[in-house]
Amino acid sequence: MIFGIAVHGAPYGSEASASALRFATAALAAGHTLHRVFFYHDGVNLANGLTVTPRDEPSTQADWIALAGAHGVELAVCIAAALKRGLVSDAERERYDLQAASLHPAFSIVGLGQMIDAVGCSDRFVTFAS
Amino acid sequence: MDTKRLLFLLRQPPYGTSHALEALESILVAGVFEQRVSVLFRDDGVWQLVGGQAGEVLGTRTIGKVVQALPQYEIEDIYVCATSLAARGIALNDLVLPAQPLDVGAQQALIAGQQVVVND
Repeated sequence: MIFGIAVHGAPYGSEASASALRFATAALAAGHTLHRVFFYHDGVNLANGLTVTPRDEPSTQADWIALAGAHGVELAVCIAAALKRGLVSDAERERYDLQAASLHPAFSIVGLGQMIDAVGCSDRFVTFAS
Repeated sequence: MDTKRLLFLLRQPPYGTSHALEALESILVAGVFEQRVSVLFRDDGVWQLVGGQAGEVLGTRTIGKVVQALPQYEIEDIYVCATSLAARGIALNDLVLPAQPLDVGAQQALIAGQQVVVND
């Protein structure tokens, strides 16, 4: 079965991205396919490349990147939600003349249409709300 | 891309967080991409439907006006939880558009008939 996942909750303040990660890990281990993970609302903050996780805590971001790399899963961040929260790639940093880029390179900036595309391409679409 | 029966479940109040606005923006995009979209307002999400909102007082968009734009995106299957309305003393003629009130059983049937439910 092909799964799509949406993460809406903030990475540190809510359990959403950690729960979604456990779900994705279990689905892939059971032989399912994960088409795309779409980060929206405060969920986009998982893509912030300027965060530091305390050494004695797990890094949900690092775990997502490792999982996505191992299984070829796209980590997609909504551009409208991202820009409002200070998540910018090099391209947006130049376009808006900002002082720095903050997006981790493992994530891609996409439009909201990619969420609807993920809905269309997946047998099941699972939302991890805030 | 397949066309799917897609239900958005809106449960968050219109103001206080950015949640309602961003959820509605994603629904409008689903309409543009020609999905068969339904929207169900329930719990505190029913406040999004109430008329007479003035977002400018808070320096934000007026959520009721965004809700009113849904039919312009060919999103016309708009439902509201009758229990959530009654619990908040909201009448159907208080709403910015004619949402169809559903009891809990009818909501179960609506959800069961979807291919995808986005739980906002």
